[in-house]
Amino acid sequence: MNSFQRQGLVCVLLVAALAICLMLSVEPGFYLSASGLTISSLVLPWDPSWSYLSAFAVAAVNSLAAGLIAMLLATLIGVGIGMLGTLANPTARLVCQLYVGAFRNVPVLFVILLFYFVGILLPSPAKAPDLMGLVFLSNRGLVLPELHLAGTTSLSLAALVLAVGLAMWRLPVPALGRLCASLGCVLLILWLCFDAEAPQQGKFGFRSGFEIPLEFLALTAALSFYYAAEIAEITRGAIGAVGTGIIEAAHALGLHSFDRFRKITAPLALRFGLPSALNTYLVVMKATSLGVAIGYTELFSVARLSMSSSGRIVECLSLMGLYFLLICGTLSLVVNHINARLRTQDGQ
Amino acid sequence: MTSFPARSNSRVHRIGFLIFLALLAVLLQPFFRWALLDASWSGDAETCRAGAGACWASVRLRLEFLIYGFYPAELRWRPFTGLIIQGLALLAIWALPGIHQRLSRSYCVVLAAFVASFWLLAGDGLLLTDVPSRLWTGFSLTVLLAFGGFVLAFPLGVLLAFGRRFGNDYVVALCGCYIEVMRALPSVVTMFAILVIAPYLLPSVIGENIFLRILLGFVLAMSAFYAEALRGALLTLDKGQIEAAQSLGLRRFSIHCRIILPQVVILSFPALMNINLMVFKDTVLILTYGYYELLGAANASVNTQEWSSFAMEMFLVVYLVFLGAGMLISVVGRRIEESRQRV
Repeated sequence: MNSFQRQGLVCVLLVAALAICLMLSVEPGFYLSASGLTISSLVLPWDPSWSYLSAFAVAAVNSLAAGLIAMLLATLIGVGIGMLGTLANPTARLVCQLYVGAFRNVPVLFVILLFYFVGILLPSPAKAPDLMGLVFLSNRGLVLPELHLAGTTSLSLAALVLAVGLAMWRLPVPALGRLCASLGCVLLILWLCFDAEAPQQGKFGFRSGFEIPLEFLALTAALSFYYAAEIAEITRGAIGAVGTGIIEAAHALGLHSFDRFRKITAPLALRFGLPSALNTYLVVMKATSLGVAIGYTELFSVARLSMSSSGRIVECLSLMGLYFLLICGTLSLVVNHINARLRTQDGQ
Repeated sequence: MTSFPARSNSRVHRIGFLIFLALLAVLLQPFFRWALLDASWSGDAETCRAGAGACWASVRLRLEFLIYGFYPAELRWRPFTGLIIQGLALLAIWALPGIHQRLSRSYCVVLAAFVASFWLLAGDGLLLTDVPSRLWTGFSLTVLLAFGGFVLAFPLGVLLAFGRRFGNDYVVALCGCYIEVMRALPSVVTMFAILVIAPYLLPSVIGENIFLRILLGFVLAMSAFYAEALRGALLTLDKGQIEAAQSLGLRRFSIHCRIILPQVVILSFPALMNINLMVFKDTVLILTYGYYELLGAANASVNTQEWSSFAMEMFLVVYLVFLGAGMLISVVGRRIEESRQRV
């Protein structure tokens, strides 16, 4: 037996022991029994007569939704701020340092609570401030207009825009211009395709409109801004790690500054920064469990609710642990896959 | 877009900086008016509602609660002395070269400060009266938990990291599994699991003391992060060092303690300081179990009917405390690191 086999054997034995312990202490019928929990679900529908297992599934989807949106926003904000930090302009670098320094020393739970209390101090739905009568922000959350598919004339106009855009795609324009034009086209098509129905303001709430609760808003906003600081540091480090010789060579070849960034710096920086960025994403997914502090219905809070209502500690905790191990395992598989692919492509 | 050596366009930079300053002034002016000019410094909630600005009276009235929480009023000199001792310990590490030039002495100072302030808070039943652990709350709890987390989790992390690197195959697999599982689960969940399960498994001394249960969960969760921070340095360590030490006839224990550990700690010092900062920040997680440390106390005091509209003042104070403590940790860490590099 070599050392790899021995280590594997220990892992298998550990997993087996854990599985036997769980099988002895867990009553599988518990998961399928009616829960009677009253939880507010954001993505999936929920009914109190459903089982504990479906309550956990609903909560897991809520956690995933918050985590994925926070990941996306943190990447967008963080990459922007991090690129400011690599500019030659000292003011831009100062802005980046200030942003990172503002979030570095505080716990993420503090930021979540702060955003929640800022949200609570907003005006009530009846006096909610609005943006062009379409988007309302109140102390209950954000209300977006409901979208309906537009009529045939608008749809055909959108198809025309799409056709023109595709035809223009082959024209020799600089990359920056192409990016702006395609973004504009997409926005125009979306605007043509959908009709927005403005939310109706009532005295105690909104009669119509797509409502995003304040807890979700505070959690995702806090996670996005907080972890954007980490992503900014990663971006700054990754761009700084690209060798100056490579960039000077690109300059000597006559590449324009945007092309230089797009074709030389960005792909190389992506290779340097991606592993740490994926690590940060895992931290974001774990941090969604802090939504329990502000009453967001995520997995940890539902686990605690069902623990206190049924008294079954091991069942709830093991299911929650399984979820996080699955998330972590998936992300590590993705990291390994990407690392292997990037290494084989250019032998770095 | 990159740090390509650009032409020196210092005039553009200067104008940009001026625009930034002007923007900052415009943005910060209402804040200063709110925080300083229009603020009400004394009185109660009624006078605060009459004024337009910040209500520092709310913080002043709650200051004792923020620091000591529910600790009995006549015994508050004890957490106060504990805080002073812990502050003095950090100050001593920073100021005295005899301490920060030796890693073991720095660690021992922190350990002594933790033991002393734990004894002060808990009491022993003989010299000091016992105070139930439910009542240790507020900022004194935050600092005690952070010190305890470092003092206990760091040695455990070292053991885990060394077990993963130098142990036999079974030890390697065990330590690896422990580290990976602890890092995959959120600390708030692991700590909660241990907090809930500990009373069934452990003797009643630990099982009935809430602080010790929380500390146990905290230490078990944080040690994995310390171990992971040490791993990179352990992997890069030259094997020749161990062989040289063996040929000198050193025992295995002294090889690990005197040759490997100091080098590994210095090599991974920035990562370890990051973990220390994380330990300090993660003390706030216990507020989700209804156990009030600094942020929990602030949260509880703004959740009352009377003060709910003055949440921002409280949060600003907590923010400044975290900012100051984080800077203190980095300053002390940098002092230790610099003194090692000079040698």
